[in-house]
Amino acid sequence: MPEQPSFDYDTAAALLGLAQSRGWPLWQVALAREARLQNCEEEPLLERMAGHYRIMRQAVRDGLRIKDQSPSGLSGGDASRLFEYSTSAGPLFGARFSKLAAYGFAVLEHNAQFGRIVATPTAGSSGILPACLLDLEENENLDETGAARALFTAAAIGVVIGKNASFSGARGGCQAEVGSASCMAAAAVTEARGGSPEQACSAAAFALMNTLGMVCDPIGGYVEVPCVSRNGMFAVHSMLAALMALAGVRCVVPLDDVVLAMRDIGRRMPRALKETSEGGLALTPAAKKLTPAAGLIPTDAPISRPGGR
Amino acid sequence: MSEFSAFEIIGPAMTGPSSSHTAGAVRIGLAARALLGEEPVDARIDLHGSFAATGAGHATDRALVAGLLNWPPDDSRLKDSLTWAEQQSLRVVFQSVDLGEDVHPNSVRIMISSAKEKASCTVTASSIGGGSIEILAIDGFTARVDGGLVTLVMWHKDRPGFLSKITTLLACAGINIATIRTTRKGREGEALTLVETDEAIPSDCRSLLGRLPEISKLREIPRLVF
Repeated sequence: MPEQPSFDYDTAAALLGLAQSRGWPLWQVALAREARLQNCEEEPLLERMAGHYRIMRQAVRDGLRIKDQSPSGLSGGDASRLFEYSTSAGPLFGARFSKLAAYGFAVLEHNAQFGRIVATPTAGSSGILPACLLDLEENENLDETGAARALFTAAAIGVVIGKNASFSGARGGCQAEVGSASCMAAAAVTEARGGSPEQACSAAAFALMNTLGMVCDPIGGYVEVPCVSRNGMFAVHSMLAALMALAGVRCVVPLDDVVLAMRDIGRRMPRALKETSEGGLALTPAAKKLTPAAGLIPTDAPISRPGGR
Repeated sequence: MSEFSAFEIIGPAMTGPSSSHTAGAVRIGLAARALLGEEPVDARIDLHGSFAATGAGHATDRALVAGLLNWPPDDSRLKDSLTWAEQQSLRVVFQSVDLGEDVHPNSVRIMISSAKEKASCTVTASSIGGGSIEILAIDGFTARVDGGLVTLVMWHKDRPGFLSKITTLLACAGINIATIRTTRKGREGEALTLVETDEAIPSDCRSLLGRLPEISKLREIPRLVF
């Protein structure tokens, strides 16, 4: 009996090869790969992914209702502010634009208040895919199955990043978190809008390329500033990358090379700018004012911390 | 190394705020709890690198304790885990340490012990991004497992034929072995064997394994990553 193909791959070039040789979209390769990996049928995997999408949608809705500030006082209420602006008369770039940003904000505000989210690929970048997909659901008739497929497109690209670089802000800076999320979302939107696998990879390359060098310097170590606004802004960024690819603009640097560049930059990035809050925004006068005594270890904790910082 | 399941990349579903510093930390706590195999009453938690520097802002301390309390990463009680620990008579002490240059910045060493039978265990692990983890060492033995499969952990004497006995018992129970690894402290000395399997070990098979004279302790880490 011939051996079943694993549909596994290490590079975007190999992923494209698998898709093109079968005439499949990227999501179908990722779904087939997952079915082999888990040794099960594809249908329950799609349903499980749809379940993840429902959690994401709920996180957006819960986040839009937040009026209070987070425990750190660094975020809260801005998603609702943006959403309200989208319903005002003549919002800049139309209602859809500010809603998209609001959705990205909403998930991160919910996350900062110990809400339930889906890490895509991390919690600090968990607003981008939900914002983009909810926008498509509301404006482009994307249903839950379509959203689940789009999430498999995202995963297809994520495998390439995970195997060749990193999703960890501590290892690669924010480019590894928000950069990866935006890269995955751009591909997901492109395929959901009927773009080809090559167009999806081009969109992914554009999105990631435009985040190279982005550092992880959160104020006080909280996943809030700049993470909340960055998720709203990079939802828009992902849409723009998809739009460029759908318009036929090709990225001259292949996705594999952009991923390698991201890894290289992550390795050279100083430790102070990789999730340690020892540089950048975290050291600004504003940061010192916003987080008295750095506030890194809460002093009201009931448990002793000898030597703790 | 991780195979990057689609549900690792799009996932996990978790309680905020950080996948590496919160969800990954819960999973490390869960692994330590499983390795102890009993209710812990004492825990010393040594935080390294970014876990020490920004851990509290990400609730890393509370997430590790949530894991020690056996709560899943999406448990909504996470933010109050320190209070729950106190109520359940689990004493926790945190300190920051330097585990070395080569150790991933999101790493921790946990020493836990139970009241009953005075069991104890030391686990060093890293949260490598997106909620995925890697267990680096167990009681001083190199481990290198990621919790993606069921992991059977055996503390035993290094004796000829030991591996063939356990693989035979697992084969009889129809358990497929994905990886197997033994590390030891010298010939015929103390050793640790880790077996990653595709499915959980049935209890009768576990008790047969537990009766092998070489084995001093046997624990099972459930699948932590889905």
